[in-house]
Amino acid sequence: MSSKALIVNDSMILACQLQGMLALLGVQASLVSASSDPLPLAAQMDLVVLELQLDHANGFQLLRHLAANLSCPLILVSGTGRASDRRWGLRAGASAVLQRPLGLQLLCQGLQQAGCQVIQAPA
Amino acid sequence: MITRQQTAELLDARLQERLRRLEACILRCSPALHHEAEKELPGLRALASWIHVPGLQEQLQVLEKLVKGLMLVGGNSRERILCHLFRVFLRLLHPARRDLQQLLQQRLAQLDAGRQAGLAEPRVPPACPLGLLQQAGEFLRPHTSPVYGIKALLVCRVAAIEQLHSVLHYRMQELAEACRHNEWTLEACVRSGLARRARQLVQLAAFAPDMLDKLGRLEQMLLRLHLHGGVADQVAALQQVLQNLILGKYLAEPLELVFGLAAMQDRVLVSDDKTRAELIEVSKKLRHVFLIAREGEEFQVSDFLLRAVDRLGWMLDAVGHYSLGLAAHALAHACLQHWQWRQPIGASMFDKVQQFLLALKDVIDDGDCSCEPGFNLASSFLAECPEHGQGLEAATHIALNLANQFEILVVVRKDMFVTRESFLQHSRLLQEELRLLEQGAARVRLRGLEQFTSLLLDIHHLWSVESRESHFPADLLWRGHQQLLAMLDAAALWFEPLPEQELMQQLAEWVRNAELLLGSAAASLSATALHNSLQVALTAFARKAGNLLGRPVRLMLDVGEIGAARQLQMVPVLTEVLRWLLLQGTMDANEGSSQHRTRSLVVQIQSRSLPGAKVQTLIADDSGSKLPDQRMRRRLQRLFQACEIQLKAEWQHGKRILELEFTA
Repeated sequence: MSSKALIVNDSMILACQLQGMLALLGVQASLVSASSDPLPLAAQMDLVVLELQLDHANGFQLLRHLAANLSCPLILVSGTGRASDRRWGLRAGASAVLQRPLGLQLLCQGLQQAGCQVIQAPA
Repeated sequence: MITRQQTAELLDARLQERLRRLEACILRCSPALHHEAEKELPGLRALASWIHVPGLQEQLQVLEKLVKGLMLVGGNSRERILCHLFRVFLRLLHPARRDLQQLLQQRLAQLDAGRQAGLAEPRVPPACPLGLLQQAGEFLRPHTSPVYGIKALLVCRVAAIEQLHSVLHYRMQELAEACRHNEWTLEACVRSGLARRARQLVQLAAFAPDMLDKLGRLEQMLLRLHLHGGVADQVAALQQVLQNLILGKYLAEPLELVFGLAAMQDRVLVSDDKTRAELIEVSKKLRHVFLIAREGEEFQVSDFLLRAVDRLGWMLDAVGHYSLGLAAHALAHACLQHWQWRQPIGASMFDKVQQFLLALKDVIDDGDCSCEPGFNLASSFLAECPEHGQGLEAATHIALNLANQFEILVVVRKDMFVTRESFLQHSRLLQEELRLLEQGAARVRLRGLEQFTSLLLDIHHLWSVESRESHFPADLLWRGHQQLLAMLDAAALWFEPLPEQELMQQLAEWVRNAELLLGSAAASLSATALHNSLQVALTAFARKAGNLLGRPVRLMLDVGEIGAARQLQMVPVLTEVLRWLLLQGTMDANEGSSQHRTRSLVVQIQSRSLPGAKVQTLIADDSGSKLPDQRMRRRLQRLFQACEIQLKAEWQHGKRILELEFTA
């Protein structure tokens, strides 16, 4: 049975891209905007992929909120290229922090680092 | 009769209310409401003018003109620009309000003093002291530049507000054309300025948020493509993306392009001969420039240096050395600031540049370097910016880096605050972190963070000397630490961390009450018992300090003349003074100034009663001691509720005497 993931992102385009990439790795992903509280949906998932740069919230605070209330792994995705994002993200409770641009291999590594099962590894 | 405090609060509330109304008017984006906003602005300006804040007045005038100008312009971009303007303005105003409050207090104090002295109420309120006005002006000046920048942009392109998208499209066409003829090597990329053009495109798109994200990604793609070298299908796909953007089809990039680029990124390594050669060449030139410059007295930043360092940052980013790349960008930023303010580079900056060049040499020789030197260098370069050029980004970056560097845990759990025992168990760790954060925040002038951490520290401190369980502020402390986390999160996203005012007030209130309670508790105890406990506490501290310093520390204490309440209050203050003295001693020892290091440290504390003054004399034979800094003075002032502290330092019979005089 494939894993279920929740993508929290305010940019629909980026979220759809990530959804496509996760599907290639055998992870079925749903999308949600950070403007609504993602916690109820996230509680039913095996994994949460959260974007750091959000329109409606501070990504780190949302991450901290989710980490305090969920037991599933959380992956933070940052687009700034700053190494401090990684360090602060890990401290705020992320299982892995990925930097954009995301490749399949990078995403796969991130999922494995977060302890998720990947069905189909990229070539 | 309305008190001074009430008047200040009233005015502040009026200012806030007007701001809220203005915000509502502008953000609702309806033409009718914009006219309302137009009406609001003069009122707000008049208020600022009454309180004599020239910087704020200036900003409001600019904003008013812009709003009026935009009323006359049609088109869809108007609302977006207004919103953007208002956000910029709000960011400017928040720190300005603190200055404004200070000025207001000052004004009211002057009026009070005049009334007490029997002078007639002046018709025209007296102006603020010139120094304060200058301070406020200097504080606001760097913040006004974005507003002027926007104004300049609007003036230049007023007819083209609607044509911003056209400008973007034109740039993109230019870029697409350049892509078509590019040789796809890093060298060619730098030569053609393609990367720079892509950067400009992203900056220009600040007014078109819907395109910002895509253009940012486009910029990254370009860089990766340059690094990888010519791959015809990827170039064609990129051109297609550009074409779509030009035609207004804001579509997602094809997935295969994203995957292809990611795969390319994995293959981009330092082994790229051209990149390596370029790195070696630039680092050699830089070393040459700095070696020559070191012989001269003053070194002005040149165009060549700016270009070379900027280029270096790009290349280091490109080859994956992000931390050193960050340092190069920070160096470029610092150089640019020196250049803008026409200031020569100082000796300490030279030392840091040398360190940077050494780290760069390691990268070139070994192809690898750890993250830490890069981060540390970046922080120190940003700290070297001329004071008026230090931006918010620099400040938050350093604060965050400080937290990273010292491995601040900032792990707070609610159970730490439930009972007094569990709190005391964790208090020491939390206090250490708070102290570190307070120092960092003060160093980089994040006043909000500094004030907040200072308040939390006071609570920790007061609670450790206070033993009444009924006043344990569990909920308040928990909320305080949560707020601190939120502020650090904001700093991590490079926003200015600002505390919640309501919580700040509650914390300050608790501190005030606790201090009062402490005073009343002390009054009921006997002076002798307290004298003994004070001696025991200080002797224990001296023993511990002796162990830490590796040399004996002797304390002589004579505080018999002061009352019981004051003695108890003195414990934290004196401990703090001693800690500071010992810290200076340790620092001197660490700096290797062995000629100043003494075999033992003797601190004698005396007190004598003088009419209208409290005096503590500290005698230390540690010749390395310096006078307490401003923060220490403020702390002492607060703890002693003194209006003024005078510090004297002199030599008597081979001993250095520090005298602190507290005037009530």
